[in-house]
Amino acid sequence: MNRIATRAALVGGACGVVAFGTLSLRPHAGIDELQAAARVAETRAAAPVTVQLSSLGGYRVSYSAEPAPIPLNEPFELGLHVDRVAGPALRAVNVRAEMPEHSHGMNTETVMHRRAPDGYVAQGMLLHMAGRWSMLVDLHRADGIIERAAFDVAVE
Amino acid sequence: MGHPIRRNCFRVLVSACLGVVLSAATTTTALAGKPPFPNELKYPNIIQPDATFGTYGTKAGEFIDPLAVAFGPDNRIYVLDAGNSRVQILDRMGNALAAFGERGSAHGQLIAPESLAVNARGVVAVADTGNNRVQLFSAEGKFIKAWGARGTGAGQFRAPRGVAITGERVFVADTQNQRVQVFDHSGRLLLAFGRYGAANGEFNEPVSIAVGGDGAIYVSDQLNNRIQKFDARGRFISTWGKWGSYSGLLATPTTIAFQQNRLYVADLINHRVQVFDANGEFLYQWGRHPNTPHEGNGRLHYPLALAANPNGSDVVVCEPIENRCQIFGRKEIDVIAVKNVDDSAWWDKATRFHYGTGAAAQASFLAVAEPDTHAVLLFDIGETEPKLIRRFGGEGTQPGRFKNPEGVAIDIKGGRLFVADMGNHRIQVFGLNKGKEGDFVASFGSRGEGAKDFNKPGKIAIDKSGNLYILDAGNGRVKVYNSKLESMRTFGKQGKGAGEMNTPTAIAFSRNEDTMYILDSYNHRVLMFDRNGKPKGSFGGAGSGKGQFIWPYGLDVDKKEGNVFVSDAGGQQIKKFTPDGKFLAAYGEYGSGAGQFYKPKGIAFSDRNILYVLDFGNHRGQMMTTEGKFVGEWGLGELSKPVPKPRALLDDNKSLYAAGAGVFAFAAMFGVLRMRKRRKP
Repeated sequence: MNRIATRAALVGGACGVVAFGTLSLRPHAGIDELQAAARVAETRAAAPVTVQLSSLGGYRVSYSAEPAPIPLNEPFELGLHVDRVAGPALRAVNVRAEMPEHSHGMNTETVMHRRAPDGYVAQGMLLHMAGRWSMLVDLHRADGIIERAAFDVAVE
Repeated sequence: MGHPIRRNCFRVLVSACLGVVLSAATTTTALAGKPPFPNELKYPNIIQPDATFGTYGTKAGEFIDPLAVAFGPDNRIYVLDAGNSRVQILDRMGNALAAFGERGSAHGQLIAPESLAVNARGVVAVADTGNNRVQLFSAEGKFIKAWGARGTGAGQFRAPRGVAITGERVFVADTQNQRVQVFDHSGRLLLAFGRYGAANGEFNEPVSIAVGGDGAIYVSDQLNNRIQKFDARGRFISTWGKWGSYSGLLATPTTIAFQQNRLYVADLINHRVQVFDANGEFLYQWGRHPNTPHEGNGRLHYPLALAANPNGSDVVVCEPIENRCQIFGRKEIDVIAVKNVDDSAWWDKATRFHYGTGAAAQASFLAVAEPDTHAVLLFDIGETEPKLIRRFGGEGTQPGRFKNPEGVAIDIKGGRLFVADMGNHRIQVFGLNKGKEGDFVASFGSRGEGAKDFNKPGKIAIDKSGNLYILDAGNGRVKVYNSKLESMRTFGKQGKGAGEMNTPTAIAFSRNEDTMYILDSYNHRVLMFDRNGKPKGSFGGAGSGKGQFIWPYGLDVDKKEGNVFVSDAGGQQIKKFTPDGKFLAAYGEYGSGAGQFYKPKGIAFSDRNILYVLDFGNHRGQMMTTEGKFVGEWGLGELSKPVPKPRALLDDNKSLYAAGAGVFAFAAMFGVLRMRKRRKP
């Protein structure tokens, strides 16, 4: 993305945050909006969960961010550790992040590196807006099935 | 007669004003959202057609799904009237002159044809999709030649959906083989190129071909949402377009036509025509979704087919969903078509239910596949009337996203929702647990013909043991998986004999699960198998008579009597049969009133034996009893309830979308408040 487009995205994103904030404070806000705002608040208040069992129970996935906590609009590395619980060997691991309340993802592409038998590092991650993000770790099994571990993080 | 420019400006002004008056004065039904959107009047790129013709029917000049159109060298118009298995020849004002073709597989007969083209000498080429062949006819419809058979070998086809013809060559979009094949007029293969994928020169559903004056070959690569250009020897030159709504972006491009250095693209889901130069430079566009049901006059509703006449003065656009065609004059197009329409997509503005092919209901859940937005909608039907829980997915290939999701199945015991992600050739699994509804769980499968592969997986049925029966439609078979997602067995094959199938579109079990019903759409029948895949018989047939089908699409079994219900998207009815296939009744007719249908597609019985019908042409769902009594409808007026947008524009409109987010949020809020105010008595 070129510089102008990036700036437009950032400014527009900021507008979106302001607009969302305005909506969430309306006295007669809809239940969906209130629930969404509550989810953001809950995520911010809770200690981040850094260990998850994957969606089919095949793997235990943990992450660590460098720097930590994850900074707003700054690149960071995501270290992943994947323990096999009941699943077969993995063919690949991919990670990306999305903002569920805003229906968008990151503006950057990540590059995955394998660092140890069970370790991976995702470089090039950047969360460009404040709010709740879901980091989606897709585990590509050797048998062709993909399962997922998802981590919610609040970025301020 | 006034100056053409002033006259056209006046027309635009009148159209715009009329849009305001209509939208303010009427409570519309059968629409994609409540107009006008804030930008509706800012971009009045609606061109009055010079002529409009066609309506639903079987008589001369009437159509059932006009899927392709072409100009002859004498400016006569050839319309592929697919549902009537014929080609109609009309004059420029739409007066029917002649017709040829009928349903069947003999020379000159057609099954589910999807494309036609006419060259400068008047030779007509037809992609006879259901017969997996190409046929050539004279300008008057006399059969000349046919070639091709189903297969993956050189010169064979699998569901060819696009054809172009020049003086020397016939170009075929061999859609399910993901390639282009080029022949001479005797059917001798000259050239083939392409394979499945998203890289340059690869395809995901090539559906239309146009040939430039210099021999360049343009291909509409539908599920990659792009146009690819090749030289006359099939060597890749360039590509443009990707999923989105802004100028130059495409949402399921269908037919393309090249004339006078302009490439016209039917941009189906954006309800418009976009025009590019020979190098892919965006020039302009016209057309918008109708404001009122069946509105024409330049509004376009799923424009699928188009053609430009040889001197480039006229462009004809056909909308199969409306069974009509509109002719636009090039002069008016040049004056009125708009260069940039930087308007966000309807699917991010209109949050209502828009289009469904597959439905499943169990316990308190109703799931609906919505290929238009590449999304799945999950409803709560605890109180019969569906209430939207979540819309999820969005266009893409990453896990959790879809390309044309087709079938859905609910496994309430396992707490899982299965989605047949047809365009990605895989099955995806999502959660149903409270608070996790629609969260991605797993996916499996990839494109191919092997034991673990899929080719356009369609509907899914789940037995009481939790085993999955997946219609692997493109491979003409059923694949069985256990609840651990392990492949168990495969049965069925492509064909029209006993137990064989051609484009199966629905699957369901009888009440005691001793019979599996498969809707064999292109063979216009319902097949019956036992649980092991042994054929037990069939019923139905092609036609509009009792117990026959024009375009059968959806099927389910009622929970009490075990009767079999079939939706006929061509016949605009729901038909009911006994468990062993005896015709009992037909419900509905063409229309948008209660109990009427407009291309009914997916159907599903709830545990309370209410039949949920995806009345997709009316952009709504209807509920009915087993006796055909109308219970209610849903999906209308959803704009008053903000719901999460599908991630359709996520990557492609990223910067523009982000920049417009604040404006959109306020506009949406304004719209919501306005709607709420209007809805109060």
